[in-house]
Amino acid sequence: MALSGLDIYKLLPKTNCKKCGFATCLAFAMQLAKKASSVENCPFISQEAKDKIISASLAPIKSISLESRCGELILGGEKVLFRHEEKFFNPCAIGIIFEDSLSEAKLIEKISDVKRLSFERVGEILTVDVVALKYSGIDAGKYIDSFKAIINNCDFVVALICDDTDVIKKVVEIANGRDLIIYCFGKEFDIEKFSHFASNKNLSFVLVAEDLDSLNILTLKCEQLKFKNLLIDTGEKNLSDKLWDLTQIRRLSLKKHIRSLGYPVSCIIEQTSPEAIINKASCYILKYASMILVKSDAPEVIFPLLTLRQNIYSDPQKPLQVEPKSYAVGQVDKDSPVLVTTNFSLSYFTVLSEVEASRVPSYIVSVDTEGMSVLTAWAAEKLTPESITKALEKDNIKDKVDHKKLVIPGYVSVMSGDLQEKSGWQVTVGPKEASGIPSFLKKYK
Amino acid sequence: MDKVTVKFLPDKKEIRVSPGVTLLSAALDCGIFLNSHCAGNGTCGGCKVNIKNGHVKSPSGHDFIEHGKKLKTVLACQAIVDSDVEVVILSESRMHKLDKAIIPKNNKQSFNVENLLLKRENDFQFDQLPLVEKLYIELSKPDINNNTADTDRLLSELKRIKNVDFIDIDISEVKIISSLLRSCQWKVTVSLYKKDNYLKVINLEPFDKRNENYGIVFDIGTTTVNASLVDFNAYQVITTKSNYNKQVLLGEDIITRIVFCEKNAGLKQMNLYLLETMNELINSLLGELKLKLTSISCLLCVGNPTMMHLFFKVDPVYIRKQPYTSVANVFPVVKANQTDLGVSPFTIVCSLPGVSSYVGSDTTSGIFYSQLYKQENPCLFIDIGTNGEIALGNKDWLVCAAASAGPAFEGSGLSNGMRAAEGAVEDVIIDDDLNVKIKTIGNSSAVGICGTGYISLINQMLKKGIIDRSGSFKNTEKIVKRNENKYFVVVKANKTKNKKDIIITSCDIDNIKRSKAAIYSACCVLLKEMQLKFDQIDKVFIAGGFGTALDIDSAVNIGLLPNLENKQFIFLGNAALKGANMASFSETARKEIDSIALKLTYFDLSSNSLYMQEYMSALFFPHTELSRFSSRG
Amino acid sequence: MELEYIEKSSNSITSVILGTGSTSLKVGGEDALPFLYREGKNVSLPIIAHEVFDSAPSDWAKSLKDEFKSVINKPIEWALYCKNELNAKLICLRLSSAHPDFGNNSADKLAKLCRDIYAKVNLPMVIIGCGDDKKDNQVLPECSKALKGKNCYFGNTTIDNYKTIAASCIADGNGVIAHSPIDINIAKQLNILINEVGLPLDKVIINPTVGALGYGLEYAYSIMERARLAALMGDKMLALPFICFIAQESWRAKESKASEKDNPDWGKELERGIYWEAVTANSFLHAGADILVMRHPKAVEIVSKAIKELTNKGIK
Repeated sequence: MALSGLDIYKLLPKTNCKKCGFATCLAFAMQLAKKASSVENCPFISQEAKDKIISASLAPIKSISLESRCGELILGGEKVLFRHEEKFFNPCAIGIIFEDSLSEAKLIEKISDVKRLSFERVGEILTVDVVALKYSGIDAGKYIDSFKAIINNCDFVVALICDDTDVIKKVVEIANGRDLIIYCFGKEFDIEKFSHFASNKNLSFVLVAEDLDSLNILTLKCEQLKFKNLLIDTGEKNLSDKLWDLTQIRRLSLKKHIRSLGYPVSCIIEQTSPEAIINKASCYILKYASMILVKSDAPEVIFPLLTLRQNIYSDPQKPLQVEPKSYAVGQVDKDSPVLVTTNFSLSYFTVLSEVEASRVPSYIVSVDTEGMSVLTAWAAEKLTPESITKALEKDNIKDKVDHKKLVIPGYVSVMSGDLQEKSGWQVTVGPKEASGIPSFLKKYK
Repeated sequence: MDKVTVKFLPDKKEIRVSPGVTLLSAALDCGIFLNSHCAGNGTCGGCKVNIKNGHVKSPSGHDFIEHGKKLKTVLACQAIVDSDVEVVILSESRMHKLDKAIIPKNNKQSFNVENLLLKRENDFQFDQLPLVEKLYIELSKPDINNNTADTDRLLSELKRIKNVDFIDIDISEVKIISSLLRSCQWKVTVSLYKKDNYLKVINLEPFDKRNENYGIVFDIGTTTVNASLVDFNAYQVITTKSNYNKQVLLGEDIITRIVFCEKNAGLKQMNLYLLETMNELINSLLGELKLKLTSISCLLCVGNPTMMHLFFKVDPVYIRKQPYTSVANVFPVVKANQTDLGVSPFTIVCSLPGVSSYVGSDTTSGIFYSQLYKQENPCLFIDIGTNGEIALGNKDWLVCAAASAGPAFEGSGLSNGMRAAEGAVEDVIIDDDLNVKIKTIGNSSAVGICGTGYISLINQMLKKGIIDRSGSFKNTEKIVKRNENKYFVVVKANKTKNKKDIIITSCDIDNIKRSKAAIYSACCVLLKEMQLKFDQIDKVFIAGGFGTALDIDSAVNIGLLPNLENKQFIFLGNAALKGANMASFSETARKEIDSIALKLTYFDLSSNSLYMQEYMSALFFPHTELSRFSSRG
Repeated sequence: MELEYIEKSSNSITSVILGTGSTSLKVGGEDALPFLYREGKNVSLPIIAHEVFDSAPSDWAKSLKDEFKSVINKPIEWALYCKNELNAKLICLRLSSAHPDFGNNSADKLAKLCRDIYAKVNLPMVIIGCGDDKKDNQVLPECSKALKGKNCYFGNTTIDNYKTIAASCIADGNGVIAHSPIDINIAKQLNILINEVGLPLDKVIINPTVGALGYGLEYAYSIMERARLAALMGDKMLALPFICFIAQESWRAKESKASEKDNPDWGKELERGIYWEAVTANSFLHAGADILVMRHPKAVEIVSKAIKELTNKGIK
């Protein structure tokens, strides 16, 4: 269980010797609680206290790391139930399931479809992370060939959904060092057969059981067998039961410190209808899944899901930013007003929606303030006459309009003179709150 | 060019100035202080004056007729003198002298506030080891059998008396020692400065001057500078004086002043204004007792970090910029001749240790005075000023934070705000018909409203439903609406000194709401960081100029102070100055302040997300979490 | 080992009734986080409100306009269409034509429209003004009078503009939509203020402002989660149902409107818009939404299915 700064302070020598580099023991303790410093920096702490602090800082949910040529994929390692408490750390992997019944040509076509599932949003490329290959139980040779086609044609992490341990063994032999996720499906699946692979870091195993007690028994057994990389799954259920399982696993590992359930959770969505995928996947992304495998590669289905994942795994402390540039709102012309705001997404979107509401076509220039809001950016000297001038020049806004008139937020009226001088634009002070924009724009010429 | 004469009325003060200076600076040179919150930029409108005779160059202003005569009102900071002129100072433009300090309020409460003003001095067992000790020594004269060097002779005698192996001395003293000793028949008074095991000779005087050992203690505030004259023989504070910090003319709060320092020669000018303020106080303190400059052995200064930087003429620019570092939290001891202070060059200038870029020696000495660090149970210490400092702790630990409350509680930046001086509304009662009864300081006709007055006023407006809990005016007939602005008349024109309505606007209410939210939420954050709740707090020490006149019920009802029992609040007055006075007398006190600075853990609120959350929910009367204030009757 | 972690709530969300008689609806009443029916006795059913405009919306995506082609200029028919064809249980009427700059329709005219729709459709209604404070203060009281005793909900009231609307709702037995800008404090402050002028809390629904998927969704999501957690832990002033204006946000996203031709890798245009609305709606279901204001019939159908599955109490 994580210790608070005060808890840690009680374990420190309380001499305020400053050897750790901080002004006081309490300040050091606060940094330790935030994991911004290491307990090793205190030369006088007792071994007992040190062990206590280190063991308390262990992650309640283990994380696993998968390598592929697409980069490192980390699953799990979560620390909170609600993102506002800190953040959700490692975005849940989204994977596409292929059937081994596909012809090789069709499979390769599908792979290239999946590779095209790549969307750029706010400076980030959103893609799927995993492809899964499902064994139909009929033709092991076909399965192995399909696997070969996958590893030869893409760099995704590959998951094997296959209940035949012999087939899996064969696939592992030809995996060529690729990281694999092995779904241990079916009651017959004997994980002990893989115990000699247990310490192999290329292989991760998803343990499947219908209820948490059976899962708990499975993970404890695998821990004894020294399996390192584990995920868990409670199998196919209706949505409300699945939500309950996912919530229980997260709560039990965080609040009751049941480490045998402290593993990343995987979910397979068996239905193929877009509606079912949309409903289930949005629930799983929001509520604690670390991997979701689906049977659709339709961009209109995957794109919103990847966007939801990006939203939910963003850092609530770090404001989301929009690209700093000038945005045209409505049917702009050479006389359209030019308004300045920051690139803090909330500032920008609030201004945007009010400009839209005013129905006065305008340009919004979002200045790069590293995502700070107007007043914060002004205080931190990110929204200055210089930065505004730079933003105006960078986008050549003067070529888009025939005037040189600029509207700045009411909260930074103090800079108007200076800005006028530096930018050469005539500055008008706009309203303090965005809600005043529509009536302002109507009167503004 | 020839000088011209500017005459100020009703003061009847005259000054000869070169054409081209502003009326504001001419007024300052005459010792007349005008409001200038915008640092003379012509934006705050605080320095209005009337031109009675003559002419000034002014970009703005308006004419009006009085007694059939055409007059002109201008902003003093914008008006350039170019010929002889007679100017009338409007009383609302005047910064009120602090010397008529705060008159404690006759309280409505069931207990007497006066009793809560602890006579802390009596609680201490403090040693009598002042900052500078004077020793009288009669040295044996050298002869041919013992021609030890003069300095060695003096130092070895001193070492013998003090039983130490080493005593330091500066070259400046060495240079004069021989002639001095010979001029006074080897009878000499030595001033010694001691810090831990370090001793240093700081001054030599002929004959026995032990009875002339005084010090001056300064509390350098952003708005006010307080100074006391202390007697190191009697261990007594002889007298205390205060005055506006002249830097107010260059900007109202710390940040504006730091920004000003970034201008060319800005730091120099800031330093100069502060030293002028301090020199005036020194002269006035000494003048009263007809003391000589040489009898002052030492000065001890405390203040917030920015003020200390400006005093030592050290560039404070990094205090304002992330990650907010100060140049020094502890400043070295210097001789007065390294500053421009008007005291003897041998006088030493000392300061007490600060903690961080926003918590300085005024806080450490204030905490010392409150004895927060000796409490069994956690207690709060709140110093309400332009920069509010909050400390929380007990005998085991101490944490602190600074909240920028803004100058509202000092009566600044509000439509009719003023300092707690004569004519300030300090108490308000509104009856059910929404008629307002007021009480002013000195019972004179109302000039404006001071911090305590605003707190009382807002409490009454809430109670009588003139405003809702968000601070916005309800739809009552009493609210005046002019253009887009709404206001409420507190004192009608015919009852005020200036014959103009004294009002409170929505904007004023917002300002006060922000100020009280900053202080209260800083307290909340420190408590939360230490996993405490208000009901675990034993006492709340309140320091700051207006501490004694504050009505606790009103302050709690508007959400400035936490909802605790009245008896848990203890008013300290100017704790920083009182603590520093004691430090000048006592080595134990100085050591305790050192240890406070060492163990005080600073929380930076500007980077604390919890603070922002707390602050936002405190922007309500009394608070968005009504339950935190619910049990109060 | 008993592997279960049950959170017991010390408070439940205030139940709010919309409408009267046989068509009335109950929202709120939850005593657990959304859909965790195993630890709460009352997990209420979120309701979808169908949005109807008093005049043809000018800025709608084509795929959306096509769905309502025949009724888009006829608010009464539009509302009837929602009831009869789309199985609507709740109508959200938007009085955008009241705006001084975009129609400036009179209070009398709009009050009559409200009365007529109610008479024909006989469903509970949420009525949202044009957003111009001054005009809303004229129009909404008249509409409230026209729907006296019908227990309809009027908005948006804001912290700067709640007194007039709240007063007329008290007089007419209606309720208010309390609108705050993605801010848990202002949401709560507004509830307190409205309550202090005399409107009971069971006549208040919170509009917390939501962002579309990809456009600030997570801010609103976390604000609602925080508010709901605080409410279940005992904060009565936050323990009110949420109404979320899903479609007005989701259909503004360029991802909902952009053509397939311009963005061939984004998939089918029509479905993309629908799924954007559905995923946005789904997200706020999990944050505690009680009323989702939606537009596209297909999106409504998908989200209705999600609600049905999430409230299906399964085997256990």
